[in-house]
Amino acid sequence: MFLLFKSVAVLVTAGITICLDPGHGGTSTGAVGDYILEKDVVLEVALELQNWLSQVPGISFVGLTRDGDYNVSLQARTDYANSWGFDYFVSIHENAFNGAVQGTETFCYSLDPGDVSYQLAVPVQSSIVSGYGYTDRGVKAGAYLHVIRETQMPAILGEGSFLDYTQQWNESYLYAFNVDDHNGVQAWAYTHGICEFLGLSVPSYGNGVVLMDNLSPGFTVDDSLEWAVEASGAPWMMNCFTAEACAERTASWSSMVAVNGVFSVESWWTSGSDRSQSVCYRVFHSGGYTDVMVNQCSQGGGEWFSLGNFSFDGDCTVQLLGAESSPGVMVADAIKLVPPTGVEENSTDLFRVVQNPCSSFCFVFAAAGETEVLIFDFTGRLIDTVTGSGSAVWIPANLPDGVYFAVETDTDVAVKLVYLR
Amino acid sequence: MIVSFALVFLAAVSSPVSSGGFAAFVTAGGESVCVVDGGGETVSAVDAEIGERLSYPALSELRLVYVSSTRGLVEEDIISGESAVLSAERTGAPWFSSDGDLWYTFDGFLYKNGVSTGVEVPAFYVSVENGVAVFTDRSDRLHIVSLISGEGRVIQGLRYFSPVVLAGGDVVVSSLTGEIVFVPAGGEPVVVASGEQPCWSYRSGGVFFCVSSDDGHDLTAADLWFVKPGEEPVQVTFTEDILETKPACSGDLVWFLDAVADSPNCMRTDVSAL
Repeated sequence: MFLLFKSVAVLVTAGITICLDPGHGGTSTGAVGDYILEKDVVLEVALELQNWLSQVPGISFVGLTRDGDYNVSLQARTDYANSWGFDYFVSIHENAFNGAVQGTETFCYSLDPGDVSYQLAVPVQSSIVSGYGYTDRGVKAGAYLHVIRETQMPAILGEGSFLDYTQQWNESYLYAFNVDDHNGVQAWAYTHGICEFLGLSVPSYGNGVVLMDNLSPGFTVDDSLEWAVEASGAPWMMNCFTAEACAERTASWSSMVAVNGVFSVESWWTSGSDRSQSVCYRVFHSGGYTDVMVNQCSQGGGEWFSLGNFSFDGDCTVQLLGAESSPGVMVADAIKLVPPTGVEENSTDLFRVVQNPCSSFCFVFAAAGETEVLIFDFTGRLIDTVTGSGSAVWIPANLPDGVYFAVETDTDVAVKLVYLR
Repeated sequence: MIVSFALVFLAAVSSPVSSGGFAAFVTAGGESVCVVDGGGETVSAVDAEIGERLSYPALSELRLVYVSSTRGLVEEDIISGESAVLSAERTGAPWFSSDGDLWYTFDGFLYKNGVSTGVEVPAFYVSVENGVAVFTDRSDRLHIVSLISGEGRVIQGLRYFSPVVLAGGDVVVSSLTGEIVFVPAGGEPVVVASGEQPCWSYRSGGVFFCVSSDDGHDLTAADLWFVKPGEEPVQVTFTEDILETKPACSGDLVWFLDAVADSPNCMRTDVSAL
């Protein structure tokens, strides 16, 4: 088919170009974990990283050497990157050894501080170490690696974690079920490190869902002898914890929140007629904690149940508390934190924003009575607090256009604000 | 018989580009561009300055053009050593057509000898010959464009990259999944072999290419092969201690790199028997 060339051209504009290289693929599985293969992990991370980086102003093109599960030779990977003249090349891998080693390491061409690949590797390594909290195995010289040596642009190769690690937790399990958004944390960490190197604004992590399961590292119970493992809990992992409800019984999920912000907190438990009719979910948020009473017998089960919207500052903890007065089986399975992308413009009748989007000089919030409203920017940073009776006014003076979030302190109801000057 | 000559240059990473008996290549890390003659003697060596990275050499007789990360597009006379910045802007990779014209892309347009042709080419890499330009877009589709009529042709189905247009309008192109594709002028694409880094040999009437294997981190084997469209590929080199990669054809010679990890060498082999 012949076309006029004018119609097919897409202008190549100035901007930074980055080639992402998810390792292995097809018959090359890479490291093997109990639950997932390296080729699948790195592809998922790369696709999410591509999505993150594509949102960064100043980055014009993020290419992939592999966008599916197929074989791509090392030669083809570097030839492809060279043919596009990418500015940077980032190869994504996961490690493996003997099941007892964990940690993060990043390879670059040389350890010469003047080497650009080294300058890129340092913040990326630091960011992934911060994201996962694993042992910092450092930045290492990797000129013996084909993709680092044969690329005509600064190149790094990251080994985010040891996929076969099974000592204190099962690393492949975290990837396979994306526990605590395990894949997204790595993608975001790459994004953060790359943007730091480039001097570009880091996008908010707030788009990511945080999933905390009863098999997550941050899950604990008051007395493991009193809790039983029930071999059902799918789709959220392989099982859940159950116990006879009483006042002493507690289970707790904790996780770091990479970027502060407002999340919808949801709980999952398995249904059953023997479930307790009154358990308490205690959500610890930036303003203290809020108790949410739930009937696990009649209010759901086998689906996500909303506990409300809450703001988090650094970390998140949700406790499940039993009650002496309401016997039955209490179930601890999974907690999910969903960023407020789906928050309605005017969430409730009691607390709402009068005009949204707003292009005037202020936002007016209507409330049932005395109200305190916390204002967060898109990265989750608390930037203002306003109060009032029946209403409150926020003046976004000297702030740029964009999305903000308002959270009423008493109710933890969140409203997305769109500010257009 | 096929004979290989090992040259003394270490850590070469770019494909050697050959013209008039010379070959040029970039050393690892973009530290220098070297030009050697048919006897293996260095005739030019450009070393990068601190913080500079050299890449994408193109060679036409005595003209060497390459991309500098700090200076832009640079031309070097390989005899006198005199250099000149052709463009301080960030251009695409330079390409010499057989008539000695220098082509490259800049800001989405095709340039010929430093002047915009007005033709939009949204690519970093372009090959031009006899009024036909070929390139791939961000969706890895192959574009074949007539610079005379303005008509273009788009070929998709594989993730194409690094196309080269031949004097008769045929195109040889690689795919990310390891197919070497021959596109006859006006015809349908044909996969002629599985491999990488195809290089058309006018003298042999076919494609030299590399077949490699790797362990996911580095190459474990590589040899040169040859195929004429419509015929079965034949293996050219059989060495176990040399990893033959990145062939570049010039008359009876095929230049290639021995991709030994810590000391890749630029080498050549006589293929007059093929």
